[in-house]
This record gives sequence, structure tokens and C-alpha cells, in this order.
Amino acid sequence: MNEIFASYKRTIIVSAVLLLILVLELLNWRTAVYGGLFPLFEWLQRSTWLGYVATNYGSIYALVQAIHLLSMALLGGTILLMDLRLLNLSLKTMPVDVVVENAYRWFRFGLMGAVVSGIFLAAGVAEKVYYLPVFWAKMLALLGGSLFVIFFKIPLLRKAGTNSVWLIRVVAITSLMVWFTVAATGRWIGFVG
Amino acid sequence: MVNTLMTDEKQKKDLLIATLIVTVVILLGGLDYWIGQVQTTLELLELAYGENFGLFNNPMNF
Repeated sequence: MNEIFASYKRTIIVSAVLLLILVLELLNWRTAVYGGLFPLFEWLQRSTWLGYVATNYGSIYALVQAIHLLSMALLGGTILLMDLRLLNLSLKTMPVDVVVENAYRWFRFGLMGAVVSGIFLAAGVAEKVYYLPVFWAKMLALLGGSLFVIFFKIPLLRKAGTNSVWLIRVVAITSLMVWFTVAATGRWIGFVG
Repeated sequence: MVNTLMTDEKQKKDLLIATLIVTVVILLGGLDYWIGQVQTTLELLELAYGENFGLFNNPMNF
């Protein structure tokens, strides 16, 4: 038993987490938690200096928005570099590991910039975004995409290399789709509410 | 040496299986989201412009 757990630790943990999410969904846990989150959003907008500055200083909001867009561009750019190379569509003359490792380094900076500036931007309109389903879709895609890249895509390329061609192609397509969703839902937030 | 190689192989297999599971779940989840969005948009357009609605029609001409 211990040997099976040691050999398939990652698979067992992933299956357990997915099963837990399924059970929580069946128990309507998300709806219960959603209701309880509003005070946090209200506090973020009305009782923190982040909310105060984001609501009252348009120039600072615009500046942070520009940083957010640049971070997202960096993030999206590195994802495109990595995934198009994995699909063998671009930078064909460069080795996959060189492209991926260099792009991944900048990916982390982009992610950090996007998250930090995103918290400030959300603080300014927290009570509005709380009611937008598209905001939650973006958060879910961002969380899923980040965890997918950090815990699966990069370790897979580091450990297994490019041996499993089909899996790597499906991983690249999935990654492109998730980050497309992050970008599209992010822009969508600006057009609703 | 042989044991280390076997452990390494097992770890690789573990990573491949876990990645495959997560990839399929995320891919299906994403497809479900976007197909749902297209469906909702088409339904809303039909509600607004009736059954004559066509994807390449100009809504202002109805």
C-alpha cells in the first residue's frame, strides 16, 4: 500500500483533490461560500487604503491598469512562446527546453505583476465584480492555469522531456485555451456591470 | 542503480498520468464554458431578433 502511494503520489493526490471538488459541488458548497464572501469584498473596497486610493485617484488607477495590462502581455507572450514551440509551430530551430526555461522565468514575473496589480484594480470595484460571473470565471481560469503550468506543464517537460509527444501537444493546447479564457474574461469584466 | 532507475521511471509515469488527468479535466471544463457561452449568446440574439436571426445578418436591418 505504502509502495503504491510512494510510486503514484501525484496521481493519488490529483484524484483525491478532483473527487473532493466534485463532492463539494454536489453539496452546494460553492453557493454557501459565495454568500459569505461579500463582507470581504465590501471591506476591501470601503475599509482599506487600497480601496480608497483605487476609488478616488483615477490617475493611479490608470497607471496600475497599465501595469496590469503589461504584465498580462508578458504572461500571454511567454505562454504563446512556450506553447507554440511545444506545438512545433514557432522557433523550430531552438531547443524546446531552452525556449521553455527562458519563457518560464519571465512567466513568473508576469504572473506576479498581474496578480499584485489585479488585487489593487479589484479593490476599486470590489462590490461590482463580486456580482459578475465572468469575474469568477477569470479567477478560476487564472488559478487553474497557474497551477497547471507550475505543477504539471513545467515538471512534465523537465522530467519527461519531449518523449510523450501527444501528451505535450494536448498540454500545450489546454494551456493556450486556459490563458485565452483568462484574457477574454479579463477584457469582458471591463464591458459589463 | 537499477532501483534508482526504476523509481525514476515510476515517478515519470506518475507525472504523466497525473498530467493527463488534469489536462482532460481542464480541457473539458474550458470547452464546456465556451460552448455554453456561445449557446447563451445565440439564445439571447434569437430572443432579441426572433427566429430570422442569422449569424451574418445585420441586426439593425430587422
